[in-house]
Amino acid sequence: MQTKKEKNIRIINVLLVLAVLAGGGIASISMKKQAVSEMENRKLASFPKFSDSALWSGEYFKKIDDYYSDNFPFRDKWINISNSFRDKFGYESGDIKIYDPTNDTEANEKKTDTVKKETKTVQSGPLPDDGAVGEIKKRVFVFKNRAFEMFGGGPGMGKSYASVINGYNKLLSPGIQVYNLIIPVALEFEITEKYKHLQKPNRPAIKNIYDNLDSNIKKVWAIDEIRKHREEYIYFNTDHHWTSLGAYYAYVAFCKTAGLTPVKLDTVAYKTKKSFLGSLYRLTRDPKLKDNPDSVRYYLFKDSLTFYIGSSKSLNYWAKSKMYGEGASGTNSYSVFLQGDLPIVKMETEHKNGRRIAIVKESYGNAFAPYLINNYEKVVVVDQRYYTGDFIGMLKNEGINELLFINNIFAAHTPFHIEKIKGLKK
Amino acid sequence: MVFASLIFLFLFLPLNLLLYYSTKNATWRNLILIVFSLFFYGWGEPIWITLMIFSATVDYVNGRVIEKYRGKIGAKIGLISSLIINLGLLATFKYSSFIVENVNGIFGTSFSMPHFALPIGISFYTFQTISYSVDVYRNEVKAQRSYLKFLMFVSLFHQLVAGPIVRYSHIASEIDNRKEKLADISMGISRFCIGLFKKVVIANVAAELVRKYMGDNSAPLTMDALHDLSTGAAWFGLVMFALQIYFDFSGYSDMAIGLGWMFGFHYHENFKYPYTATSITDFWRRWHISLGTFFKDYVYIPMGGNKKRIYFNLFVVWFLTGMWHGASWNFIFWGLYFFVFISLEKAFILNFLKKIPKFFSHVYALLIIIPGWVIFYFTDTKMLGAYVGKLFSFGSGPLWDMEVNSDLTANLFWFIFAIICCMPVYHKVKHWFDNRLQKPALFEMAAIGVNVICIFLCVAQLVGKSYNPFIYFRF
Repeated sequence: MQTKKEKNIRIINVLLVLAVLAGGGIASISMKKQAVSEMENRKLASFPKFSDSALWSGEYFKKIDDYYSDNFPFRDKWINISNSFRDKFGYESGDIKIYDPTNDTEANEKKTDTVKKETKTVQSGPLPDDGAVGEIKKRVFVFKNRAFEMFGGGPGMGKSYASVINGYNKLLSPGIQVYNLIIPVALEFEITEKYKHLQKPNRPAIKNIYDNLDSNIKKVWAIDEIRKHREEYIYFNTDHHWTSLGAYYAYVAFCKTAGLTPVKLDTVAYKTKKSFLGSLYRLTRDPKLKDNPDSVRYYLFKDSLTFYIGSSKSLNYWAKSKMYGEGASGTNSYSVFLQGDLPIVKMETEHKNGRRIAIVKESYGNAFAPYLINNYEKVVVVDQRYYTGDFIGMLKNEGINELLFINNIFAAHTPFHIEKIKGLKK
Repeated sequence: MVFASLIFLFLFLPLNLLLYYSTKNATWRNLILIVFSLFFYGWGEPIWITLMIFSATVDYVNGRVIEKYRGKIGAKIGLISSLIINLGLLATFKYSSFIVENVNGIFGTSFSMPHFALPIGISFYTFQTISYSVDVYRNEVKAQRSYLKFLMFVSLFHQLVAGPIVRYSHIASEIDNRKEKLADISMGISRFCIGLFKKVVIANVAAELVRKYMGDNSAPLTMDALHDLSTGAAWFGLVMFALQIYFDFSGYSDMAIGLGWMFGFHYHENFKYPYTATSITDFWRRWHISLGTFFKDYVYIPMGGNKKRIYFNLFVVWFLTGMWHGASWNFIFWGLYFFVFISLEKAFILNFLKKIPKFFSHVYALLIIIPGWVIFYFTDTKMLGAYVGKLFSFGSGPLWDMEVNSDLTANLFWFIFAIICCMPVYHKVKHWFDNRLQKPALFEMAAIGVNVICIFLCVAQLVGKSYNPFIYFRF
């Protein structure tokens, strides 16, 4: 027999847990729903439409599950709790955080507003240790009020990437000149001696890929050109992408390789989107990053341009649109370039020089591609992740004679991306 | 539906409990359980409800037939029809493409490959109904007269999709006449919370690391990625998988057992701290107990057990145990891997282990169990070979890398906690409260706090986490 005391404890246990669950259930149904999560930069799932086929495939219920967890009461707060709970699972190798005065907001603004023409002697390896201290959060290195992804890809993956590109070269040359451009990550240019073990140096990894590429593929050494400008605002502080300026130096390097004359930036008008807190801020939620927001600059080239959005379904479907998604704002600001990650877009220019290029890219390519309208008659941009149409047929249809694969160094060492690029051929 | 989901925790479970306890009528209570169970099952795969109801109906009828014609040929026919239909369902829906693939491979034929999506829980409920038919045939349990009650037994959402394999004979009296007690409900809730915590806070976190080092279905490991892995990273991934599968599966069993208690059912334990085993024989008495005893009672002993052809019997049992886990050669290899060690143990190792300090027995067992998981993990035998090569390639590649280092330190406290949870700490603490302190009530009081904390942390982890599949759904 249970004692009275035991009985009371058990009643409390049952009623308390039941109250928590049932109470949460009632709250989850009755509370007002948000449509968009600003914090995660995405639309929240909406209640699915009923259909017989969705019901029988289980898809309908799966979507209700997504809807329910996306619209759970106080979702943002729960995510914050979850994040700080996860932070306590261990400690981050590295150091205790201290404020680093060498790189405060004022200094950054200066960087944002001027494009330095001359550069001092360029340091090629890690910078000497300047006493600045960083910490690792969620696999992101927070250092000097900026957030950096750390590269750790190995030569096996690089080789695998190269062989996929070679596959295209064998298929398409000599009719189409293939180029390859690997984009280094920001940390390559900011790392100090003290932290050099945090990631693998980018140049040897890029060299490994280029060494494994067929000799007739043209390799673009963007890393060397970007390095010359390492002190400029070439990568975002709070986002994993590069800025349009970083992309510009890669474009300069590309022009050298492709025998083109790069457009000069100081003659081009531009617009800026301010207070951009990017992906790495959303991931780490580090207050130091919040105090160091980014701005996104995009250039308004004078040349006349017709911009089309295409489709994976048909080679002949092209809808007129605009090169910049000017509505992009807040955490979404990087989507201003090419309106974000559309599967395929096309730009036709007034330069009737017979040069027609296709670019295969992930999101880094979005900031890069607009520069090419200054040099090409036609630029088709394909997102390797989302385009599922007849890629080879498209190249023929559009009369493409140059093909550029442009990938950030992570993507070029990630099976997902490599498979996606390979899959375009099918 | 899965237990570790918000919709289950906040809508399904409280609604089910409230409705169930709002009536005192046993038939209504059974009906409520059936409706909720079918809904639970249908949430994931509506179409396969029909298959489960079919299986339940067949065995209900066969049970009645066996009983009616006891001692006559009719009973044999009933049993055989139950075996053929259940094993036939398994063969069709789980093994057909595997069989066709191998037949084509061996005989050079080109039968077209059937492609069935594996119906959730089929490996569990077919075994449950087989055990029912056999037990009725052996006259160890009376056939169920009520179809509704039998359907409830088969469809009970607690254990339907991922075990334990509940035998009808274990809960026969509770199906007909169960007494839900406050003590059980309270204990059930606490057990459920612990299981939830094991799944969400330990297994799911381990799963992320496993995915990173060993790949998974959505992003399988490639040869090139494996080439870049250091030996330390390969071991780290494997240890994470050992943690993932234990906490995933045993957490699920805890939740099932806890749910049973909440509704007046007492299922047998399915795990007893398997990683504290002192031999492989011991491990299999502690790991997925309901499966081990199933094969023991329905295959091993009927074949002659220890009395005749013992090694052949063991071979068959371990072949089948491996195969039960999936329609792929690696699972069979995994079963046979244990066959080898259990045979050796029977022959001489167990005697030897008795003579050495216990610590070495633990080390020995873990050194067999953990590498065994790699066979379980890779269905692609080429990848399996390559990964094993990596594990034992000391010196030929990098031993350690920054990536593992940072994953290890970033999860160090969690890792230590998970290892402690592999040991019988809970029982020690309870024992201490009950016997040393003589204050069992204090333990239950503390449990209330633990339950609330578990729920709180699990909800935080579940909200916005889309990655939350139960591994054992595949079987």
